[in-house]
Amino acid sequence: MRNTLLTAISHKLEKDENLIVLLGDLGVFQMREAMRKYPSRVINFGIMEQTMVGFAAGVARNGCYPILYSITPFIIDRAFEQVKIDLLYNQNPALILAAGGSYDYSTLGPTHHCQHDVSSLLSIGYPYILHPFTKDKAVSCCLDAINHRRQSFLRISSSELDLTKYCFEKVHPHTNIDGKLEPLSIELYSNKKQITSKATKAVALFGPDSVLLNDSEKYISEAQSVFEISAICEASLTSLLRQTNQFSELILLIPYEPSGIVMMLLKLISEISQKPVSLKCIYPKQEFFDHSYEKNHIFKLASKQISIF
Amino acid sequence: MTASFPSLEELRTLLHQNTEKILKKSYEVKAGHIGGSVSMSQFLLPIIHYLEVSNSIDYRLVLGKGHASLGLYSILNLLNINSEPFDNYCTKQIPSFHGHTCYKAFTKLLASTGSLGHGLPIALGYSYAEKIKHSNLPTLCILGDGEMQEGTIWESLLHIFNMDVNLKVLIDYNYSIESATLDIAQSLKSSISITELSASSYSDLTKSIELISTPGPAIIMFKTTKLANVKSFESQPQWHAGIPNDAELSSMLKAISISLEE
Repeated sequence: MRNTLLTAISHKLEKDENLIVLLGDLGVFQMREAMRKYPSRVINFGIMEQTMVGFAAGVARNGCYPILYSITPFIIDRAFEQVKIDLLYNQNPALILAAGGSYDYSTLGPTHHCQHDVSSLLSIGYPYILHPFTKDKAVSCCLDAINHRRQSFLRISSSELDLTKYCFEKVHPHTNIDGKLEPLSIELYSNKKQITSKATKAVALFGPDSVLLNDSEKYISEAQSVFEISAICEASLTSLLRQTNQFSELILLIPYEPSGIVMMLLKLISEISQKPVSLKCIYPKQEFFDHSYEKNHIFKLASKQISIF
Repeated sequence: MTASFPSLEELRTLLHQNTEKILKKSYEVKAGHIGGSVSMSQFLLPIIHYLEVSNSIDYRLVLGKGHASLGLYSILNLLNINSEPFDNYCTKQIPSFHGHTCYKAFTKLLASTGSLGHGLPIALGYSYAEKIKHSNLPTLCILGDGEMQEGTIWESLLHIFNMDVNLKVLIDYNYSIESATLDIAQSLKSSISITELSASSYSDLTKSIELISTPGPAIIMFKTTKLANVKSFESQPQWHAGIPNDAELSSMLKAISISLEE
């Protein structure tokens, strides 16, 4: 997914002269050709994430659109104040491409884990958080963010997920029910197998790592409908609630710290008065996993369940 | 060039008026960082006068030491550039301007600041975009000497000369008592090329105008004084963010005496 995205961005640089790519000493090899062709617009900024975010704010203030590429804990944890103040408060739009969300750098230990990136960003009102499920969708999300100059965070995963391999078929390409939702924000899949249970169950997947959580395959196989949520925004979650209204159960498979999502959903439920009969969340607990674990092993160790109502 | 710079006597008068305004406003609204606002004004007032009033030179500004907003707003008011931020400073009514710097105060101001260490990277990014757009307006970034301890300053300094941007870093070296554990000036002078000037010297202030008018990066360290020119109140740590009471304000106003050598 990383290489595909960087290639797409390299092509985009040719047409979009106000695009500036800042590498946090990451992706330098993959971007070497773009760095050669556009030396003033593709910069290896170095190992200084806080200044890189502030610098990005400055170039955005001057009419450019910066793309920042770094490892998730370094740019979200270390540069959190710059993200909050320089980008959000000062209204300087940028696209943050972050590698290593949750446990992608699983064997490198807790310094490189970041399962709280999404909730941290939601806590400061970050407007557009993306975790696409496939390479193609990642490119679409990335180009959409660039073309609309969105204040965006794109969580690059080392995994991909194609639900059609799970006896599911896409109901329709875009569940763009109110005309406001951006393409690919939320997509609905239905189970091709006949479900005998009278209870109507739906599962919402928040990024491709969702299926690594404990019992995720059981929940998915029992569900009539599965929703892929690629973009965290009010529109996608409102759409989810509307489409699961009166379902017996909605199970959220969130492969990162879930409080931001849960709070958004509860707020939306109170506003639109539509909700499933019950709501359950599966997520990884906060713990420092300091052995050389594999990613799927950490998810198995960390998974917790909570019934919200 | 210096012909369009205010005369020594004009500058003394302006600095006196500006110091009075800062003290009175802080007393009126019970807010503000008067120590750094006055020290910064020692060099920022003549520079903005030169750029805005005398010559109409376009430029951009970032106030890294965002807590000195009262000093900036006072200068904008005094020089009839924009009176609103000063008039509405901490009035606790909407619209008002809070105690740190808000970019809405001034069209040339690039960022709302307050957390130290944020201004210089933003100024660097802006000036870099200026460079690649071949526009190259000068960007001024004002830092406090205490702020120089922030890691982002070091990170930015690594880039400034390599990028060769038209960025002028103006350090308000008021030798904050709280920061005295580190000799910032010595550390900086040992590491990078810095021009040291006295904000109490008219000829040094005119030199700073020459440096600002020359394209390319420059770091100018102005030796200033906290609550400068308010004799017997200068360089005292309680006036970093202290608010004068009735008696103190009265004493301060009487104690203003502008030291500005030729």
